[in-house]
Amino acid sequence: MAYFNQVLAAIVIALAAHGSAWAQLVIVSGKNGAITELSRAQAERLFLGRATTLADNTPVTLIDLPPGPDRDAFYFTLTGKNPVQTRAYWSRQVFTGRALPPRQASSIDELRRWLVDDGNAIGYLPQEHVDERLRILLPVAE
Amino acid sequence: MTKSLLGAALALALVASDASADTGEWRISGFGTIGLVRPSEGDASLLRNGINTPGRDGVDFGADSVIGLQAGRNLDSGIDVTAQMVVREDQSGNVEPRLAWAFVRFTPLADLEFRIGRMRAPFFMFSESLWINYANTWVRPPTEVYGLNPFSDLDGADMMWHSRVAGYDFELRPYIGRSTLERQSRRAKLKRILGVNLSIYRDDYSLFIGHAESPFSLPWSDPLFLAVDAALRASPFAAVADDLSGRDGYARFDSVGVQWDNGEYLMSAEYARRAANRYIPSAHGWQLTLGQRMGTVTAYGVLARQTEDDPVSDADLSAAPPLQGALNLFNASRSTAQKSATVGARWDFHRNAAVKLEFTHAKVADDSLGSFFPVDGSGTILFSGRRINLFSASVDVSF
Repeated sequence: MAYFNQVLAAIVIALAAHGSAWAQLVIVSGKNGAITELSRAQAERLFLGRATTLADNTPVTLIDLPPGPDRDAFYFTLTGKNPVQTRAYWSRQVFTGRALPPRQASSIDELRRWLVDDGNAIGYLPQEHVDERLRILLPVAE
Repeated sequence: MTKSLLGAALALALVASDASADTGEWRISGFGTIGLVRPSEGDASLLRNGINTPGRDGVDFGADSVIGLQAGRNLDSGIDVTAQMVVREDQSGNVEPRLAWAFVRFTPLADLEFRIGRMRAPFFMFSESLWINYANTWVRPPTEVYGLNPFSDLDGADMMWHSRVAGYDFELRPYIGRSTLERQSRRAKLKRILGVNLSIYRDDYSLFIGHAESPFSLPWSDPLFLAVDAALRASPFAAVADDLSGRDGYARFDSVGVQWDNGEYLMSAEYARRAANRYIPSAHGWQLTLGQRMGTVTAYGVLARQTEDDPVSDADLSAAPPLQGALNLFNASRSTAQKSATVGARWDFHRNAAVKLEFTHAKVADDSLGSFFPVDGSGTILFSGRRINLFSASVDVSF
């Protein structure tokens, strides 16, 4: 047990050293897209696959960052689920037909491009990577 | 051949799992398991009711191994489609691709969905994810609960209504349809399923309540049934034979389950019941799972029990002791009552893969087969009262 705690502490320190895990994450859409506002409750339901549209029935496409500390920090902060929980949870949502899996961008650049191209898409990224083509919908603070 | 095919597919899945699986607007996903199970007793193999064919040698790869591929896409105006192909061993011993899901969903309002097509029958809390082993903590959902209903397909329609009230997410889901189970020579059918489920989520908690009922047909054709049926029909008790097998059964299924998972500790518990008027025993089962995550390793323990409430036929044949003996043997051979204790560990060694090791100690109830089947295929050896250990190991992927 003590061993596992040491390992956990080492992982936390490694994440802190990496830096980006502590950056402010924001949920964004394309500036000219259909999605102009988003509540935290809506964001949580969407990224848990419990809703696929906004309250006005606008369909939403979710875009994930590639696997890594930013993605893990985003899900943990928004839904309270750690990476192991999140992956098991989403595999159930997808393979029981509840929700289509998020599209996975291969980089922050690709994520931004997809958000600009798809007016119904939302994604998340560290705030310093937001540019003039994007609209910040919701900060996801720890 | 089958094993190497599954192995190659799983290896490919692991390699491909970090690549984006998007092809245009289609979202492609997959899951798979390579699993092996070995019972401690040479004459018994694991029977997952309605799922596998019991193995004939010591190590059975067929009980848990599975691979599935799914494609889904959004169409215009609130319509989306999903199809899932699954390859795994079936009850007839065949390993062939079959359509596990194929539905069209219409979302007319943000909180309302209608689906039509083939879905998984959602009788119990984990029924829909029965084969999605990566999503589950265990190697397989406890047979004491999940063996109570062997039907997995729902060919029909459902409605899902979502609501959020005071921080609670509600999902109300009525469904209708039918289901067919291919058995070795004949088909069993749930002919007109009517069911409704209510799920409630909040933070780390969820609650599931489900009820379904249906007329059903269950034509037994095993040698033991044929002998008992013939003996009854040649006797003054011919009417009793009509309760053993046929097309006029009626069954009800109920389930109540809870889950709690705070990231470090997890708990799930479920009670489920099958009430049938003939052809199969009425029985209930429960399971309790507790687990602890330590980083990527989850240690867990499970207690589970299935108890028979009513045998297939409780006819009094004491006037003809040999017939009573035959009926008792038939009744016992349809009972899967047992209790078990399991300890296991899951290690998420890769972003999309987990390995699990599990040890189960089961005690079969008196006059029951439990979740085991005789390796000689006779179906007449009962494991009544015996203690059998099971060692299971699996690698699960999701991509």
